[in-house]
This record gives sequence, C-alpha cells and structure tokens, in this order.
Amino acid sequence: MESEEPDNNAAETPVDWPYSGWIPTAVGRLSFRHIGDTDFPERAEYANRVDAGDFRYIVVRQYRALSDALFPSLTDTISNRSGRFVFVLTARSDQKTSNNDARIVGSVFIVPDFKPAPVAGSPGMPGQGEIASKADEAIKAINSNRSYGPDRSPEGECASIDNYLVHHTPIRIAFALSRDGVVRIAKPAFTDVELGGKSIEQAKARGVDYERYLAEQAYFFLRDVAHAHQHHEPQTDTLLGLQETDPADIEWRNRLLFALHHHVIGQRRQGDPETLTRTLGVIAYARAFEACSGKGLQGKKLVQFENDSLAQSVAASVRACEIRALETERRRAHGRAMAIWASVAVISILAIFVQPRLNLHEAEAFPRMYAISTVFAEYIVVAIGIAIMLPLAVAWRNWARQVDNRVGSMRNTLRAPLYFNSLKVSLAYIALGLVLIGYGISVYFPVIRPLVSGLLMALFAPQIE
Amino acid sequence: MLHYIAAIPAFFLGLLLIVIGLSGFRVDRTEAGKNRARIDSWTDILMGRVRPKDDWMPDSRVQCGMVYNRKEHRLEVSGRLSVESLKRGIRRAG
Repeated sequence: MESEEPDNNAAETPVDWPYSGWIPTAVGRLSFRHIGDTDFPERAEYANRVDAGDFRYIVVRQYRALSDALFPSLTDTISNRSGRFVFVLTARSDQKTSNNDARIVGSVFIVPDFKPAPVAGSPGMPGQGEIASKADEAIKAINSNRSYGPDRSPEGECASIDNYLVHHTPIRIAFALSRDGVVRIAKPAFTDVELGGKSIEQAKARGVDYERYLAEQAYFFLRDVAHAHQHHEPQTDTLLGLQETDPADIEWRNRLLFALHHHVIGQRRQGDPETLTRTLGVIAYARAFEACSGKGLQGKKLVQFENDSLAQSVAASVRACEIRALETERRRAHGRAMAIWASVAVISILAIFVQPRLNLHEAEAFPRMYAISTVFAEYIVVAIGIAIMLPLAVAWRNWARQVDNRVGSMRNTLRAPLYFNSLKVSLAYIALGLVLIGYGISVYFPVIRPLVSGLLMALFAPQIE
Repeated sequence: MLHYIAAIPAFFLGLLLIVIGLSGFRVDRTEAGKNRARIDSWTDILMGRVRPKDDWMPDSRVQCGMVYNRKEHRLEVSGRLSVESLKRGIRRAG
C-alpha cells in the first residue's frame, strides 16, 4: 500500500508524479515567502524561514473542516463520523533560494479525528491534538530562533518534525512546487494500511478513484496556504483540480486551460458585475499559465485561446452591467424620493391642519379623529413597538433575499430546494414559515389586540350624537 | 415570559423560511435537474454525499471534502453544492 518515495530532483514523469496541478499566480512567479500565511478555511500556524545556507524551510499546520453534511455538528455526531482533519506541511527548497529555479519539495500529512481510538487491530496513532502540538512546537522553535546553531537550525527542526510525522500519521502525500505555480503530487502513502485499504475499497464502490481524490485534498490544502482566493468564492475548491500527468507533459496543461476557460464561459452567463469582474481575473490566470507553460514546452504547442478578445468581451459585459445597475439605482432613488416626499406631505398636513383640532374643545366636532388619537395615546408603547418591528421585518426580508448575505447553515438550508424544483418543497418551507410567524403573532396578539380593536372601533363604530 | 422572548426569533425565522420557499419557485429547472442527478435520495443532501462528476474537467457545481468514519475506520468521500452553484440556481431563474 505504501507508495515509493519519489525522487524530488528527477524529471517530472507520470510514474514519480502521477498528478499535476497549478497554484494560480497572476505574475507567473509564486511567492514562496507567503506560503502558510492564510486564514482560509481557518488560521494556519506556520514557520517559513531561510537559513544561513540560503535554503528555505517551511512547516504549516492547519485544521480543516471537510464534512459537507448539511448540519455536520448534528449528523456527523449521530453517525459517528468526523469531518475535522489536521493537515501538516513540511517542506524545504531543493536548491538555494537565490536560484530562480529552486522548488519547494516536501510532504502533506493528513490526520483524521481518531476519537475514540481506531478499531482493534489497526496501529495506534496519536490523536489530532498531539500531532498538532508537535507541529506547533516545531513551528515555534523555527520562528523563535533568530540565529541558528547547528543543533537548532530550521533544517534540524524541519527534519525532526518530518521524521515524527512520517511514523505517526496515517497518510503522507509528497509534492514538489515550482516557482511558476506548477505543483507535482505523488500517490498517497498510507502508514495505516487498514485505513487506506478500507477507504479505497469504499470509494471504489462509489466509482471514485480515492488515491486521486486524496491527492486533490492535499492540492486544495497547498492552494489554500500558498494562494489568496481573489477571483472566485474561496469555498469553490473545484475551479482548478488535479490532472493526471501525461508523458509529454502537455495534455494536463491543455486540460487545465480548458477548465479555466470553461469556468470563464460559465461565469459570463451569470450577468452580475461582481462575477463578471472576477472573471477578468480568471482570464489573467489563464494568460499567466499559458505564459509559464510555454517556456518549458520546447516547441510543443498548447491549445490556443483568444484571451485578449475574451477579456475585451467580458470588460464590455461588465460595463453594460454597470450601466444597467446605474439605471436601476436611478429608478429606485427616484422611487425613494417620491415615497419620502409623500410621507413628508402627509405628516405636514397632519401636523398643520389636524393636530390643532386634537383638543377637548374640538372633540365633539371631530369625534372619529379624536377617538383614533385617544387609542394611540392609550397604547403608545405597543404602537412604538409595532413602528419599530415593521421596518425591521422589511429590512430582514430584503437581507434574506440576497443570497450572498446568507451565511453558514442558512446557505446549507437553502441548498435543499435547489435539488428539487418541486412545488412541495417550496410549499413546505412556506408552511413552516407561516407556522413560526403565526406563533410569533399569537404570543404578542393579546398585547396588540386592544390597539387593533380600539382602532377598528374608532374607525367604524357608529358615532353617538 | 419565555414565549415573549422566543416569539421574536420565531417570527424572523418564519419570515426567512417564507423568503427561501418563495425563492424555491424561482429555481432554474435545468440546474435543479443536474443537481438531482448527483444524489440518490434526500439523505444524501443531509449527509453531504453529493457526487461530483468523475471527469478531468473540474466540477464547479460541487465542493468536495471528506469525513472519517470512526465506526468503520475509513475515510469517505463527501460533497455538497457549491456556493456558485447556489447563485446560479437562483439567479438564472426566470
């Protein structure tokens, strides 16, 4: 089960590195200095130092919540599953950092949440907390030493934690990351053979190549720690996936370009300015990848896309969207101004013409108006409460209508109707909503009722002469 | 007193569910059909077992993760609709 360790200095062959991918970089040169400095999906602890010999050493530890259940804290607990993993990266540059062709080579270790201990018969593995503590100790040691002696060098710390992780974590995935963002990934090595066997077997039954799937998880982790997501939702991890390395080292690059352009074309059809503007960034990535791939292909041709025309076309769409948005905003502003003007006119009329009549002397002359005024005065607290609640309810409704603003479990809840285009599902949501609103109103109805009935009486009851 | 406190979030949650239910009427039929093809039953949505396309072209409609099954001592594939898929499903409706 355990795969052989690839030679990091060997040529990129499908045997050594069966998977290839790209960590997007618009400038064409990835900044190794920033590897580890990320808050997505959670804050990563990291050390990223260059030693006196000009070699870079990196250790990154991150917790990653990978369960895609609608309500993971509920269903995963009930089904005795856990989507919480610890990912640890240990790596070093394979040449001095002054060399422009230096790569970062190392391993990604994946630690599931073994709690309680794995089933009998499998090798005992330390828990996530212990692994994370060991990694954090190494990170702290590397970060705290400004000058390195032979016994406390980043090389020694890095080698020490790497050796510990090799023997105490169930999954290790080797990788090599080039300056141009190209990342080569090896097949996962399972220290826990039973875990590997069972995982692959179960995935196979569902038609999934688990070794590739796991390598992709390592790639997503690498991408998160080495790249800031700017032109897509950070949760969209499948914009760029891993490709299988081909002997000519070109087919995977073409596929990656197809994937980028597939994304661009899909996004163009969304028609909102933010998505379209982000699409321009993805086109910039495609250009950068074409440029960095072209350098090493020695005459072999990548598939050609007219990226200049595409970018101009998208920019024109962005402009058209902006003009439409401005026109819509102008109409809305006009509507708001009219509403405010009407409100001011009504309030002014009430204040100027009606208010002076609200006194005891005029009560007999304007009995209905006086009765309404009396009801409001009597239930002033309830009236103020309703006056506050109504705009809040309207604001909440508007907030809820904006999909982008929905967070966490609300986003998850929203996903359910998207599978079904079903009247029943929508009606079920509406019915449940009505029940909850009905409950809210029924609780407060005794408080509101006197005001409502008083107003109705004042408005419609026959006046006694 | 407890009822008075609970009634306010219930009111707003109810309003939210009605808005979501109404947005369900605007779901793009084609997108919903594609999403439906990725699951076997509604429990797949609940448990996060939405299938991505097994293809070299990345499937941006699904975001993929994994879970560790403690009982069986194995890692399992996990997936759900992506945020962009969610936007696409609602916004393109018409």
